[in-house]
Amino acid sequence: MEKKTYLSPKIASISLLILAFITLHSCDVDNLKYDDWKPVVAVPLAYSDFDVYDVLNRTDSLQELLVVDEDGLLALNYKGELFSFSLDELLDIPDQNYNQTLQLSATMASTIESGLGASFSDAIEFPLNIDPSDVRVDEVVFLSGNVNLSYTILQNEVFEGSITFGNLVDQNNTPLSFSISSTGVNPGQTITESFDLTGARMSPNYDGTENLIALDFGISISNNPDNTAVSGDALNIEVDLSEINIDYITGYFGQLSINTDQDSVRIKIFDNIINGTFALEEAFIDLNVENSFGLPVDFSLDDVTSFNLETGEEIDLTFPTDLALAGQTELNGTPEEVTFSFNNGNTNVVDLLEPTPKVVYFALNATSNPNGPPPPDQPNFIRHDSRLDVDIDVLLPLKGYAQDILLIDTLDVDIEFDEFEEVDSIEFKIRTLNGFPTRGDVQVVFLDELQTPIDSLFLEPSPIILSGLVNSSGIVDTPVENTQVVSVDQASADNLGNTDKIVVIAVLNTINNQNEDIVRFMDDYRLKINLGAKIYGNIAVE
Amino acid sequence: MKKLLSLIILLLILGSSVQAQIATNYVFSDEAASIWMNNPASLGNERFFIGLPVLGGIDANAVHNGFTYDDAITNDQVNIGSTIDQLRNENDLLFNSSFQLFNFGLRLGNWHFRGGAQQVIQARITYPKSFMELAWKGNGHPDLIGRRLDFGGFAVNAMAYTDYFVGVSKSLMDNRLTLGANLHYLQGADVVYTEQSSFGLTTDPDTYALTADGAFILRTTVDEDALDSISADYLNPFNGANAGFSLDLGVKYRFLEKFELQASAMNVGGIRWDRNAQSYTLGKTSFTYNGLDLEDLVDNPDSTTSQLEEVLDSLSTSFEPIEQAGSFNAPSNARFYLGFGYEMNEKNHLLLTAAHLRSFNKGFNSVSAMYRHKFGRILWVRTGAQLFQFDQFLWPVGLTLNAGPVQFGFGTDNLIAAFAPTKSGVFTGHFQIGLRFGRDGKVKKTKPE
Repeated sequence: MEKKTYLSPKIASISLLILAFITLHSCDVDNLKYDDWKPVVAVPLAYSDFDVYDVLNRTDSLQELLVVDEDGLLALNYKGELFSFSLDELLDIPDQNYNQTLQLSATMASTIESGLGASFSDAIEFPLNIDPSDVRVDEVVFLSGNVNLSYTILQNEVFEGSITFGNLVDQNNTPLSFSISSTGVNPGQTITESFDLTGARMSPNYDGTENLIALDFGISISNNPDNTAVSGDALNIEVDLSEINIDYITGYFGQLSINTDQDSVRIKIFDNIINGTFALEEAFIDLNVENSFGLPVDFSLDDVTSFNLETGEEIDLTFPTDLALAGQTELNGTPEEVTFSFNNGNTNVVDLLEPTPKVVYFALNATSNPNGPPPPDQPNFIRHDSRLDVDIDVLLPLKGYAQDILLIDTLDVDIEFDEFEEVDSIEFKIRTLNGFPTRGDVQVVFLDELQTPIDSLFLEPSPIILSGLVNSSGIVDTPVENTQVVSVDQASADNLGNTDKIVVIAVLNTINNQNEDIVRFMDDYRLKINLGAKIYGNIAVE
Repeated sequence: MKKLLSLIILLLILGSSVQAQIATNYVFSDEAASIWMNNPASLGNERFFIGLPVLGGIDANAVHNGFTYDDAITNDQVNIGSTIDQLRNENDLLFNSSFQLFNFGLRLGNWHFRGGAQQVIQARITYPKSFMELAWKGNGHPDLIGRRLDFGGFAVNAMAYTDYFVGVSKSLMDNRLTLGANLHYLQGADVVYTEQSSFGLTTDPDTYALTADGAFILRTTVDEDALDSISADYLNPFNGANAGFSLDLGVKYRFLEKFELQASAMNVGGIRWDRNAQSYTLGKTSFTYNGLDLEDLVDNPDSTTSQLEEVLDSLSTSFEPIEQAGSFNAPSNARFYLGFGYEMNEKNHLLLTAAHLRSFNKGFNSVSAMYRHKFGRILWVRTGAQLFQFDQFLWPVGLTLNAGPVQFGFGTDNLIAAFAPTKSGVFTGHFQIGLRFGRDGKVKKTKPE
């Protein structure tokens, strides 16, 4: 297709440019003078609309720790296991060995040599080692374990018979018995037989100090013409109990003392707080106990301390010491569940957060059978799965006042203003709309490499956040807006060029805390923050 | 920077070779044969007239109603701030040029027939004062912060087309009443048409949050290859592309011996653009930028870049127009005139005119008072005063010379621009030459008794 340009926008545009060019050069542009271009550019730098969870989550994974009551009042709720005990920590049947050598008397030796033969028909008892040793064991059923019986014929005579445990039966209730025979056994040779104790039941004889296991012997000895029987060692018997795991044990376990090391609950919300007071109107601590030990226990929280790791300040909390557990009533019954509740009425738990703690320490002392042996028909028992679990449930309704809560954070920075030569100054504007009953005074200090302050953002700590106004119930009904403006000019910027670190210091106070007015933290509080900047340009037009 | 600024300023001051129809100085002045281009209710003063090709009529207007050179530059000092302060809320660069390719007129008794063709280029670029304020003062300036900066008038419009027309008029009631009409077939070449433009920027005075809102519809047949692909085929009136029609209607009524009322509605119609036609539509949208998410920044100090990328993505998504291929209609730039003439005597006439001129859906008003005087038998000279948009004073002058069969005419709507161009933003020129047969004396003019 033949193309033909005619009077078109293209020609018009070229005409425009030619005309403009001619006119431009006819105006002696080089001599034109211009005012400096001084635009003021306003830009939003950052914003946030924090709710209660956002604010508190700054220092904690607190979402799951905040609870709200029906009125919307927030509470911190720390839950966790404080202490836990099991059978292994109270009773243990260690590996143990019993060794017995049977001897022939001179009479028995001559009788054997005469061809009449002799026999060992006796019963011996050996003690069951158990830790602690003063436990009376009525019955113990084994979850697992082994009993090994070894014998060694020491004289080359003919031995035939058996050894039977007098108070150890297998799971079929049959007494545990081992055969002894010299047939095919050389003198000095040790023969071992093993038995799996799973399901076996032992009922030791308690003699007032020890739990005794009985062994009944029934062994006949006849003459070996090739050997002459002599008085002395004839047969060695050894019993080993090993790898014992108890299914359950009954008896009387005495007044066991259970002393724990200090355990702790960390109050993470105060992690960044250096100092200050956070006084609560009320606090609640519940100890939830689940006890499946079949024995009564008295226990006490003897050492509860609220401790501030930063300052070393600590406050002792006083708890009742007569906390009694009756124990699970039946061996295969349901565990005992008890909750011990502490509040302003029975403790000084309200002082828990004063001063703001990082850690609350607990130590528990417990004693079993505080009243001595149980009735014969109600022996103590412990199953392999018995536990004494003590969980703690700390509920801190956020209702109180805060004084001079000090937070400090240090940031590494590298401030460089050289790139902004066409900027006269920058005016930072911080606007807050605070629905919390808390005022925040902030100072930012700039440090050089030697950690020497070279400047500060404000002449003195400035109230960046003003407290919301509260009603007579201490609930914020009117959020309060506040605006702070900070200007940085060229001189300030040059000075800040040496900044190595920035220290941010914040002091938080609840409204009217000088009067110890109680405020409440509700779940609908919000804090809106807008940070903006006005950049005052000064651009020379050349 | 300095030269760039100067170039921008001069472009705004001078405009270019495009023009707008603001001419009023020869509107309804019936000594020129081509009066039918302003009021089809014209019988002409000669039996036959033919315009010389290309020279038969050239109009070129350039208007900038924002500021003048003297407003902007005083003693080599560029007064950017004060110049911006005196801008209108919407400032227009209007360009219009029309070249008569050929035209003719024939009078038969009480009838007049004519026809012709012309090539027309029209453009309007509108820029809002607030945009210039924003650029010069910045959004944080006390004058601007907290208020919505309305960029609603921002528009770029341009249109080129060939106009083929035929017309007829007839005098009635013993020549006291004349009615006429022209029918135009419009053959579009290219267009850029801002059908709707609504943009605003608000800076919150408390938070400096930026809220941009807007909506627009831009229609065009111009793409990046359009200027290179212009073809002679565009001139073919029967190529079937970008066809349109418009209508002129006019009336003249002499209600007393010396008083005459004229009215006309010109170029009322439009073109349906279908070659390379594209529409870019942005529905009403709004986007607010509050800054980076502080919470996210605290948790993840390195999130600045990703957050900014998200903002830019959201912004581009919010303001991404829908591109759609398909034909569209664009109105022709109509003109409406109402005139009142007083014929003091045969050589002295007074004419008052009010005009409403459309330029791509935006209206411009003008009133003028023109006096014309006939020197001898061959020369008419016109002068007067015009208020464009009721606030820009123009000094129109012009003449028409009938030298034998040759009619020659030229004029301007603003003589001020000729000798003091730095004081005016309106530059116009009109030139015409044609051959006439059956001069005034041989054409019987009948006045009402």
